[in-house]
Amino acid sequence: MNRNLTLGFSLVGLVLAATMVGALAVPRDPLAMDIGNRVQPPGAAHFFGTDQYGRDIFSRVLAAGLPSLAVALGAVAIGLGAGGLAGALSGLHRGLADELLMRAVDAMLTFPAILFALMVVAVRGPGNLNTALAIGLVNIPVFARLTRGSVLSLREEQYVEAARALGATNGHILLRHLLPGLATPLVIQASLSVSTAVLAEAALSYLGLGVQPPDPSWGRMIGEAQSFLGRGPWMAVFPGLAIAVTVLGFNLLGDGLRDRLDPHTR
Amino acid sequence: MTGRLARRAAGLAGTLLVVGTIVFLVFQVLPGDPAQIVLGTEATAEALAQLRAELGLDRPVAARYLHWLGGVARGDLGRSLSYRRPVVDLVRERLPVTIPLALLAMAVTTAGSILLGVTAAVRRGQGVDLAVLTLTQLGLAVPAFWLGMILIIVFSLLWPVLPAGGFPGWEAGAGRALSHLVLPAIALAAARVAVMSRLVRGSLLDVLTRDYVRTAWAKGLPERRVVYGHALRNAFIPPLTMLGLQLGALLAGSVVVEQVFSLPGVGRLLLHAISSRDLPLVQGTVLLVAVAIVTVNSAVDLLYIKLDPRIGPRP
Repeated sequence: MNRNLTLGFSLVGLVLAATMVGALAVPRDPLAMDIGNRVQPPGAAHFFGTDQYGRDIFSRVLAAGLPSLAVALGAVAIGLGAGGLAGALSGLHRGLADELLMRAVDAMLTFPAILFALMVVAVRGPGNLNTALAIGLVNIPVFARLTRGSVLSLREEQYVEAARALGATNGHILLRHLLPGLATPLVIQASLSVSTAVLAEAALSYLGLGVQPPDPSWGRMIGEAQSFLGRGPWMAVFPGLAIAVTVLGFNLLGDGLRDRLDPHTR
Repeated sequence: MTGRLARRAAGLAGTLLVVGTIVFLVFQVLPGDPAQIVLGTEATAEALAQLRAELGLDRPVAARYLHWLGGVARGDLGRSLSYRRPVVDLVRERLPVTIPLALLAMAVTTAGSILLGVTAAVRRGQGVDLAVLTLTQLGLAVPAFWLGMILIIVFSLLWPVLPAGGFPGWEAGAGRALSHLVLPAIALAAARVAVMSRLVRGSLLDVLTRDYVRTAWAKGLPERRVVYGHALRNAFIPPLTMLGLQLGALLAGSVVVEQVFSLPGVGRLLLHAISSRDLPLVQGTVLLVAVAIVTVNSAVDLLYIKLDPRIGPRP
């Protein structure tokens, strides 16, 4: 195993484990207020300190893992599913539809992700589902272009020509013969996309447009901490570290997988 | 050259049309009655009908699209519902904050990525190289808005050398105004520096193996002359093409960073528009930013053809 892969796997494992703990057995209720213990610095009672309502930041950072990751994974699933399917069909059939689709993909890719996501949230309103949808829509062109490119090169392979000569349908060719070859680039891209999705979710939630209360979210915790930077900087520091560890983990995982699986970059 | 320019201009016009169409469609296709979104669930039927008429929602989509496109072509992006003023004027008033911020962030990106990229390439495989690589991974992993707050904690609260936010306006003097943009520009540039310094490192490593660089070493030139005088000049061409594209990312990123530092720029205008459900203002602002990004990218493209004749088609 290369270094990136090992480190990426370990960090992602750590994040998933912490998320599981956060979902099942947090040390304290992440929503319980304790007005007598407002803005307490990190210590034995509260590892990461408390926030402006006396809530335990350690528990909140753990509990925020699930909504943040669920939105990010949901967004990547939308991008991978819709983009992958569109790209595969486009690459298999070519023709006018392919041309139009790629034009639309090019135009979408010129849009910065955050701008597009903000536009979708503006129309649909905030919320976990809408955030996943907004970030997912941004991901569709990325996966569509990647899948189309891979299909275009794979369809020229002899084993695909052989299958076609034997009378295989497009669906059969796609599932049986192309999918194994598509899996590698898509898995690598999915891992890298999870990290951009975590960052996008955090940004939207920081702006108050992503994950909504009572679900805790790393981005919104940082947003709420902004008025307390002088009195309680830890309120902003720890959720940010959680984001950084998650993004770093998925980035390294994606890089490591590419180094290991993609023969072109060896 | 004229023919090529015309082709490029036509391509740009096509892309702008598609971008405009996407912006229009997002506001039409996504479910939800815009009038209801603006006025909320408590609105009376008369108020809804009136707003629908004002927004043109009572007409068919195709007619609305043509009307909107015609307005955009004349520079009319409609009126803001919350400010009761033309969207174009509102955006124009905020450009003196957002454009200098993006340009300053661009300067930070350029300087930072050359410094880190060259240092890493020259000390390849050593501790410094690993440190730069680690730093770039962190730069990509850290959200810009969080980095902005850490910068405020360190440079405004613990060691107060720079203002924590707000913008005094250019009338307060260029020095004072710029000092309010330094921390936001660094926060905005960090991820770009991470991307670009890797490109500079890779490109310089490639150039450092060339024969002419070996000749320069063999002549006994000092490292500074070999790296900065001979190698970097050629090594910087590939990253340069990418550098122009970063300006778009910086413009978009300013939406979030302006919020952290309470800068009254286009980004905060957009956020105000979203939170006050001012859909014409959202639509107009997004369109203007997107058009700016596409146009800058095309201009950068054209510039390279001028700078490096090898990039364009052979005459």
